[in-house]
Amino acid sequence: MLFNSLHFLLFLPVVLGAYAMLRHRGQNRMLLIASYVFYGWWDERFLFLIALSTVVDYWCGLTIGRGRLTGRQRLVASSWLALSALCFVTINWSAVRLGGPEGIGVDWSTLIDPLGGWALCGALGLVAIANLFHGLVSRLDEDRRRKIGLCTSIVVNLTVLGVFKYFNFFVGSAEDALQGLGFDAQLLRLDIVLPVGISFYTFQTMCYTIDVYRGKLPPTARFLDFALYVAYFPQLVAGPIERPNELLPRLQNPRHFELAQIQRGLYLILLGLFKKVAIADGVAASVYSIYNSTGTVGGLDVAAATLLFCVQVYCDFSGYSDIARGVSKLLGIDLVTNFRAPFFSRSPAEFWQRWHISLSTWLRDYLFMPLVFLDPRRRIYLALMITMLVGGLWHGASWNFVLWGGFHGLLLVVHAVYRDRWPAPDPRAVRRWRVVAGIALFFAINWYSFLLFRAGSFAQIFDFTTALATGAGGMHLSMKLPALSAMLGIPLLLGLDLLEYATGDALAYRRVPAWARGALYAFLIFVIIMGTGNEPTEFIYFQF
Amino acid sequence: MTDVFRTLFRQPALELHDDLTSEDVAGWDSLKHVSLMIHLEQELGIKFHSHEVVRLTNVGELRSLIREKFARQPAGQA
Repeated sequence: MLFNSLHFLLFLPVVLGAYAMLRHRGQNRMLLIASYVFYGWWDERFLFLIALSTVVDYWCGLTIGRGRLTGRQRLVASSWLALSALCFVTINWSAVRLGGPEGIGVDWSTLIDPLGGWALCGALGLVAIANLFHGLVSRLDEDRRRKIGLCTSIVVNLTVLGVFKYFNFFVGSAEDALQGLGFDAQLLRLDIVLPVGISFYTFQTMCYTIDVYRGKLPPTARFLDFALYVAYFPQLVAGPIERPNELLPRLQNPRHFELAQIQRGLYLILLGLFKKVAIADGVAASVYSIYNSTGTVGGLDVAAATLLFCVQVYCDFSGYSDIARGVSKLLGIDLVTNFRAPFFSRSPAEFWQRWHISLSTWLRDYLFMPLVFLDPRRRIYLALMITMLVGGLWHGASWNFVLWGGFHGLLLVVHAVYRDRWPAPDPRAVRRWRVVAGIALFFAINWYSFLLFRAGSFAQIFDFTTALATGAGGMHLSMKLPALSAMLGIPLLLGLDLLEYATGDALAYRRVPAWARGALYAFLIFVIIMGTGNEPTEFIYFQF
Repeated sequence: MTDVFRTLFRQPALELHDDLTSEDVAGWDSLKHVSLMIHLEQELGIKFHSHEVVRLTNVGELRSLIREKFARQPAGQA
């Protein structure tokens, strides 16, 4: 279900209404059902993968932290997986008629999906194996038991991610490589659709078991709380990627409501819709007109379209994060800040402290740090390059994302070497013109990196870079102009981000006089309404 | 420990106290943090794990961690 859809407009009040009437435990059960409905709206079959991640990590967490599960815990987890396989994959719900000219009925010949039957057998097999080996694992010494729990979680999650997101990519790349060597290779491809937001929830659930292993938090005994942590709908499909020690206690404890929190939540939803509907959707067609053009493209077109793509991807993604945080605030649950005026960064290090913060900190804590401290030679720059290449690949199964990650990795290494020689001055002592020049210089470099991010092929990267370098096409601009909502919205967004950057406070907009704040809200609503005329596009980060 | 901080951050007058955090020292980002830990490893002859490094929030916690490491080492090695 999309945040900017009519379905969500009906879904949210129903959820909020039910939430207000229920007590804490009831709220959690209702939120879990709502989250499964929200995700199942795209395709209910992928709910099985969420259930699989949930059960495996719940089981592994308890194995690591407590050594064993109680009979009841095993029964609940096993039933959850088996029922999920049955309800979400085995039964073909389109065979059930709820009306129409033939009335209510069931087409028995297609009710059971053959592939789904295998999934059910697989789930039952997994449950049987887990229960069979449970006693054996619980009798092992603590160190081995903890390692088995951690490895099982990582292997299962990365296998799910690998099969559904990267299998065809790696097979295709291997085919290309073999063909390059003169072999006529035709390797197996899987006919699968990428499950929405799979990279987000696998990372979120995996860091739970890692944190339990590191002793950062105790394992969660209550299955439904953990299932809600994995599937919590505001941030399920595009983040922010929440840490278990932050989100789990908020779900496990009763929530308290304050008027200020609801006001902030509504503002964030408004701001997110403004970024997505008025700006991101308003410039999407302009970017498309150049990056999907079949003709020759000039340097000015590439420059302008890439600039607008920076705006598009920022508004699209940070807009989603804002709505997610806003919706969650209405439920009394705070989510982490994911963006802090990122285009005002003066260095790659600062950029990654401001852009997709929940991913960059995840990569730092769960990939970069282990890479450095597991390596006896402590090679920081090698670990950094690997981290950024993986971070690039996380965005999508395509080499241009790897290139983008590598480009940023290189920037970070160069910057770190530079800072080793010339340490950072005290920020308070830096003159204003140097700050402005630093922001402009790094933006110019970063702007080019988004060409790598958006390009459809290496050939396009080469052509567009050549066009930029040679200035081909002169001053002729053939790009489709952005929608009016975007042209009005971009200066306002720039102003809001500048205010946040200058004050270091995301709530700085509240300090302006009431009349100006009223005018701001009215303008946001006006531009959003104007933006509803733009061709809606799916959130870019869903594909990640 | 103070010397390692002063050399790494090139701030000869830097004074350490338990509440000092990365926010208070210019240039103390995650990369510098890792460099700092590696320098401390070399200087003090101890080894850190990644989960210990990510858990630290201030200089006080770093001192406690180092004290713990020394306490765990067999007598004579510290």
